[in-house]
Amino acid sequence: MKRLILKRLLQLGIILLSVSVAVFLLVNLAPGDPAYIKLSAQGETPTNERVEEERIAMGLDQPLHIQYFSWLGQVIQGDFGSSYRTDQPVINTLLKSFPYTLVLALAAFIVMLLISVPLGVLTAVKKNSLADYFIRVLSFFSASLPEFWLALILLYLFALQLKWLPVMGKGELKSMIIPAFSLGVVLSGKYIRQIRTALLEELDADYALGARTRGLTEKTVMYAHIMRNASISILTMLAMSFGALLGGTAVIENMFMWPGMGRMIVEAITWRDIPVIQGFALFMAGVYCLINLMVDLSYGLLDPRIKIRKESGQ
Amino acid sequence: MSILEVCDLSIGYGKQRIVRNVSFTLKKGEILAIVGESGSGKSTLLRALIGKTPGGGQVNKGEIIYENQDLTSLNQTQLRKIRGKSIAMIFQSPGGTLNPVRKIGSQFIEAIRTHIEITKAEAYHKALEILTKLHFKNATQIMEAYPFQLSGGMKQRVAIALALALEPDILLADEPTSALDATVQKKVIDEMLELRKHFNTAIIIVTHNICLASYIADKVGVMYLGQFLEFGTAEEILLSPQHPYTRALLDSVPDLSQKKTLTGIEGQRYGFHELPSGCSFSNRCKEGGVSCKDLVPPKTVSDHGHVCICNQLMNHRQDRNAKK
Ligand SMILES: Nc1ncnc2c1ncn2[C@@H]1O[C@H](COP(=O)(O)OP(=O)(O)O)[C@@H](O)[C@H]1O
Ligand SMILES: [Mg+2]
Repeated sequence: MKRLILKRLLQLGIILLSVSVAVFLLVNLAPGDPAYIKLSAQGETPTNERVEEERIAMGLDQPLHIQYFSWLGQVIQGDFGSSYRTDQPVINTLLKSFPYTLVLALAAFIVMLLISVPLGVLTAVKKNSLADYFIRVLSFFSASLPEFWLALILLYLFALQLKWLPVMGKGELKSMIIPAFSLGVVLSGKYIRQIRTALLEELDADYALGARTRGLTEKTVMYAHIMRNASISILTMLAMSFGALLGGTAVIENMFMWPGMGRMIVEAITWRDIPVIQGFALFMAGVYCLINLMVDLSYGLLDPRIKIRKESGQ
Repeated sequence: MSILEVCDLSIGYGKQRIVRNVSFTLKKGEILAIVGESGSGKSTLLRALIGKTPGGGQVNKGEIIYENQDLTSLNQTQLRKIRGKSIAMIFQSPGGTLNPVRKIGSQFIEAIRTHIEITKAEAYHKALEILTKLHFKNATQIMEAYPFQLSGGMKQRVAIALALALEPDILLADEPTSALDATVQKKVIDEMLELRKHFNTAIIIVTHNICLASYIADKVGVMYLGQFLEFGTAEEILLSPQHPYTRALLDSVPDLSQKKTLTGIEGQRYGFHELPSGCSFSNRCKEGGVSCKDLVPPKTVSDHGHVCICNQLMNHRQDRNAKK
């Protein structure tokens, strides 16, 4: 178990390092002079002289690899630099907006789970029935809906017409309902079908046939056998969807003025606030890797084949 | 007294008829072996007996009489009460019927409690009892183990024990040893013989190994393209086979003393879609005549119930009598 964690952490380090190179190069090789951008972001008139001064202050006159390593050194210490625009440390901005995105993504994730797990199971159990057909058509629809469109409909209905919910808010629970639903419903369209497929793949497995020949009800076969086996692939799928959710809230966050990372990053891109963009990319890569790591570790809890191999240290 | 009676059973997938007019009876504690090359419909027949034909398969005709009721007329709920309790089944993949991610003990308990209303603890003890009866040395450890922690032969033995947890009247075994090493095969087969002794379980074992069949079985059904071409006691089938196909099967068995190697039966068999109106073995038969392909072979039943479906049966008898 310890060795597995160490191995995964090492992999995580390598991945993050590669991401850091990509992020660094991408932003530094993009057109436009960072010094010029920084000055204009801070509201100064970027005269040639000032730009030149700033370039030296920012170390942009150094060779690229020196720039990279000094940047990386700071990043490792948790210093992602300061925002060009606000001069605030990037890490503060990230940590301030991340909880909002996390909460929104969690809420959307729960909505998605509540919709897609029961419906995915239902469509698998009642394969080729009218209910299955109906839900599949619906899930196809919802998966192809743009989130903002659904959000607009929900806003119109529940905020403007019924006035049950606020149109937008500053991060309180009630104002999260519509955004979370919009994200969750659209995502569930995809996962209903994936859960259905994962279950159907197991439907004719040997162990399922065996369970049936022992006289178990189709329900027990589904819940105590097939779901248990399929839960591993379903868990992976769902965990990955959470990662995708964390990175995919930008449109909704901007629509609802939700003070999360999606809004932060759109703003940063508008202003070409390079340190913030870099910080965001690295941060998200880190979160992704962490989710991956957690999924890997939780396999052991669900799959005894892995768990016991781990325990016996193989 | 016969415990299972199959009368004129035909099973098809869609329009394709696979199992054709199969009849046999099985007595309490009797072992019937069904032999034949793969693809002859053995699995289809076996699974039909518990109402679980592979996807799309359907009984078209005939009866399966168990305890005075025709199983083909029961619905799935009624069949479920028989499955596992009165008629159990094991398969080719060793322990493939076991769920890989659940402990063996929990699968025993679940199977037992499906059919009888007892507590988990009682079911646990019942399971231990069965395992002990079948000479498992470390029964408690096996109950705590996951299938993947056991060897192939052990898994198959556990699968047999699980199938027997409720002391069924009939055990259906679909090539239970084909995937095992030769050394383990014998052990599993001996175990099946033993449980027949213990529980007086009737067994239908499917195999493509006619030697194995005659070693274990009381009766043998020789299946070819969905038909029982010959059916009789193991002794008769082995020592005085009547059907050319049975003889061909016996001839294709490697025999160390005669330095004969496995030859298989020459020729390509008909597909199920292109069966002739006459004998389905006619295109590979060394003993048949030109008319066999078109002439519907008669079903000859001897006084003591030996069945053979062959056009040339009378000729063969005369031939052999002449030789004697
Ligand atoms: N689910 C199915 N759908 C259609 N045809 C099938 C199905 N299962 C088996 N068959 C056909 O039935 C025939 C007999 O198969 P099977 O009963 O598995 O034979 P055996 O067990 O003797 O090898 C084969 O020709 C096979 O193609
Ligand atoms: Mg088979």
